[in-house]
Amino acid sequence: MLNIYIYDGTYHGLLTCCFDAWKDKDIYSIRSKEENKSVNLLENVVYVETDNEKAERIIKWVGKEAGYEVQRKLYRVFLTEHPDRGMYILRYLKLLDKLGRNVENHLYDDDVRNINKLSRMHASETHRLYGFVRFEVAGNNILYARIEPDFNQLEVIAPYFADRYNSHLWIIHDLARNMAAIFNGSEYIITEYHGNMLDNESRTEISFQKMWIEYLNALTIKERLNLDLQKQKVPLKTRKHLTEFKLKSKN
Amino acid sequence: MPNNELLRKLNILGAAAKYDASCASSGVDRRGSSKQGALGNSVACGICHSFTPDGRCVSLLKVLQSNDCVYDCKYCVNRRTNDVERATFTPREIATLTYEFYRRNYIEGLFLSSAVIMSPDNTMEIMCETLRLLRQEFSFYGYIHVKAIPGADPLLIEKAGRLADRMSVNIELPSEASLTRLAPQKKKNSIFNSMRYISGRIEEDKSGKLLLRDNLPAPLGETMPKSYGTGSSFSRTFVPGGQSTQLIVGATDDTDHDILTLTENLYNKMQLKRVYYSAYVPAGKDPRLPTLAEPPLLKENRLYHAAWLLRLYGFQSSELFDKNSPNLNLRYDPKCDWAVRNLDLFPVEVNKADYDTLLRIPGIGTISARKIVSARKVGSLGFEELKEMGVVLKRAQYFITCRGKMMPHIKFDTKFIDANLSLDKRAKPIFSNCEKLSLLDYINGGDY
Repeated sequence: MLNIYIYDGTYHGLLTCCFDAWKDKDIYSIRSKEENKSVNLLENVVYVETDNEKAERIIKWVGKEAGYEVQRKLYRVFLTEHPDRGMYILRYLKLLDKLGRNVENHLYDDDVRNINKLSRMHASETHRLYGFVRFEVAGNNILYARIEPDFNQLEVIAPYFADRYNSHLWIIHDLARNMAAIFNGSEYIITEYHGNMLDNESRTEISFQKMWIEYLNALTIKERLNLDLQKQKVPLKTRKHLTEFKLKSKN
Repeated sequence: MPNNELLRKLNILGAAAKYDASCASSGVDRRGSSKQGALGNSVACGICHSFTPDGRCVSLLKVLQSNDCVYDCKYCVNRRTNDVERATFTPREIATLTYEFYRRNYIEGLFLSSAVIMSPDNTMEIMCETLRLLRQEFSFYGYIHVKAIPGADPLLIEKAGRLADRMSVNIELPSEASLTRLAPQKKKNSIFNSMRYISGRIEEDKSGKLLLRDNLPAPLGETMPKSYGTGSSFSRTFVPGGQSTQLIVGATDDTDHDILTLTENLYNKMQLKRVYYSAYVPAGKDPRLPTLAEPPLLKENRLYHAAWLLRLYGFQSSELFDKNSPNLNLRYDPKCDWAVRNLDLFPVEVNKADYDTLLRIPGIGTISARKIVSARKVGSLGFEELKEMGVVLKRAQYFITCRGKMMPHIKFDTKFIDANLSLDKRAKPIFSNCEKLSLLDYINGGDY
């Protein structure tokens, strides 16, 4: 039989699966309930109820064995929403059990590489978003930004922007996931969101956007034009919500 | 508030600032939530916000306070005798622009430079007022990089330095002879005196010893600001992000050797955080200036690469040059060049060589070297393992052995290596002004 573990879509749910499936030799896959595809005859579905205590035990154990950075790494892998992330994490945890802290030196091991690669991809998108999130000043002085990242990023960027714009109210809207981080001036929540704050941009807002674009144009050294380098630094897929590229394509 | 006049000034004074290569917003970690009502924070690794069509990073709002210059430096677009449109920002205009750009997350902060308006002191006073407005009235906690105008009163430099995160004085021309020829009103002494003052003050704050400050009266009859904030986030008050400078390359016949020796001294003796190079873009037709078909971007790239080797790879500037040539080899990068001239030190066995030796292999950077040291603790490394770990062998393959063997089909001799390395003529993006390494380090740290 091929056992398929299904969890509720939370990190704690995924870790509960790892906990329950630890000794299961027939485990085939760990899936979030939204990803659950049709089941064939050989597959045996196990629905796992999230158990925060089991999940916390794993998190604590990882911290003790390998430290905070590995904890963060596994969490980032979860946030990539990669279809195989469940099994990657389980296999990494088993390796950690076997090798202890040394697991981090096994850089050419497939399981270690998968984890490192996905977490690095996630981290670099996070870093890019720190710079590429673009707020517009909407009605009532609320800062509103739209993003469509490859990975789930709200949880990791919200604390950063809460610190940076702690004297403002802001919303960062992930259009790809219909979720938003909403900050009320003292704390943020992450919630489902279908709003749109950009119905009528104020004239002040538009004039600052224009100033930004003209400024970037003025800053360009024409003798050094290098669009390939620009494309490498600002990949096309990231340009959709960048004021300077968005408005240009509108005109 | 926003109007055509502001836009006009932004266009002129943004364009006038574009030849300054510095874009770093790094070196300071400061939480924004440490002060009620403040706007902004600062992250040690620096953050890029956009990239212009020339591929250069935009991190700070880089503008001049004014381009209305009394000097007549031949290489500079803002020289007095050049017929360009002039403009001067009021302190409030810059503060407003910074604030509005910052809260839209266009920028990390402000980079404020200026042409010399009437006198260095006068210029520096106006710049100080801009910074004061931003820090005090707008409660701005983002990054500020300010230029010290050479020859300005140390009191004014002191004042600016307490409001800013980083300060820089541009040397621009790497030798006194070049300065005399092209920038007769700039004096080597006033440039280096300002730089020395800044590095002295940074050192003082670091060591906790007050050497200079005690002897200073308050500037211009005001009380000296202790710092612009309170609390532990401002434990060092004078330019916590350190000092940087810039050199123009290709406008004079100063050699790469001269430039790198100067660079080395600036890093080692003045504790500079960064030395930037700016490829000369023809700005005038003065007979004392060279005529160039295009800016010497490759030369600039090689210099950055070489400076990288000095700062992070344990090289000395003298190692980077062939006895017969005071300039860097344009055929391949400085590390390859050094390796080819020192083939007797190669091939290096990756399973045995220490970290510092690994770092000297062409194509192996700090990240790959660290990976190798880490992975070989748990098993011996072959070429396959290296590839799987993401170590790029394109250049390294000529200089290493794995378990005692060279890569198949690689001949270990100067001619073969030279021919293959210089074959690589693929147009590559030229190194930009970004702090690339700190970003990678940061990502490897895995934290957010």
